[in-house]
Amino acid sequence: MNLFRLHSIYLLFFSFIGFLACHIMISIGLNPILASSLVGFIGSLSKYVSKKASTIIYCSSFAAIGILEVHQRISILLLVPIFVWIIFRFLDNHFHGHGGKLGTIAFLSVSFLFCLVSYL
Amino acid sequence: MIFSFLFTILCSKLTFAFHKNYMVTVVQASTLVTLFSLLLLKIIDITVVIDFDLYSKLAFGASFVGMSCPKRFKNNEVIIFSTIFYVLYYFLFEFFPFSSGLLGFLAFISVILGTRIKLPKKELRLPLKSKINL
Repeated sequence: MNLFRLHSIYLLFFSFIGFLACHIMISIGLNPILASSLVGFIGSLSKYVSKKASTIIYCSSFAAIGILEVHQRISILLLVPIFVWIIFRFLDNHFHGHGGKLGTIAFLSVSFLFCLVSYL
Repeated sequence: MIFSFLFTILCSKLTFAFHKNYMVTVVQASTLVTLFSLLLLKIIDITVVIDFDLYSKLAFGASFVGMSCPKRFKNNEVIIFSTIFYVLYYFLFEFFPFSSGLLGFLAFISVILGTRIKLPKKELRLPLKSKINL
């Protein structure tokens, strides 16, 4: 597994897209669950987005759901899609077909941020 | 409580069936079920007073359980997973300091625990098979 291949960087871009789109929708005042579902659904319908990219969009949108409970500053919150991308790439070939894998990735990445914020 | 439990099972089964029968991706199945259930809950909420927050979270989490692969798991197993998910949600959800990805994490734990439940049967079968081979 190489994190710095072109396809991997492409996934990082979509991780940011999913996180920011969901975060903006929640900031506007939309229900977080509705926002995450909408982002995931729109991402999965697009012709220009691969199946894996649509999965990472949905995954990073989970992470954005309750992120404001952890920290308020967007500069620190932008670490979350990077964590999502790294964990997603590491768990790519593991736990195939197990439901909740994406949510676990989101949970782990927010947990990392939570630990980081607690230590700083 | 019984209604919320049945609602959890229904959402997970719907997601699973959607992915299995209608050739949609897991992401599409999960999001469609969540969006549809949110719409339904909103309509019900107008007429009858329900805990919209609880039901929307349950629908979202149950759709993660239903994202399990149909080639690997059967219909009945999804019911077991969603039952475990409901129990975990009921007892553990409030203890976590943040809710990002928590529903998915609980769904993942319930799937892992559900698959562990089957293990004793397999272990009992193993010695019989080895005897036949010998």
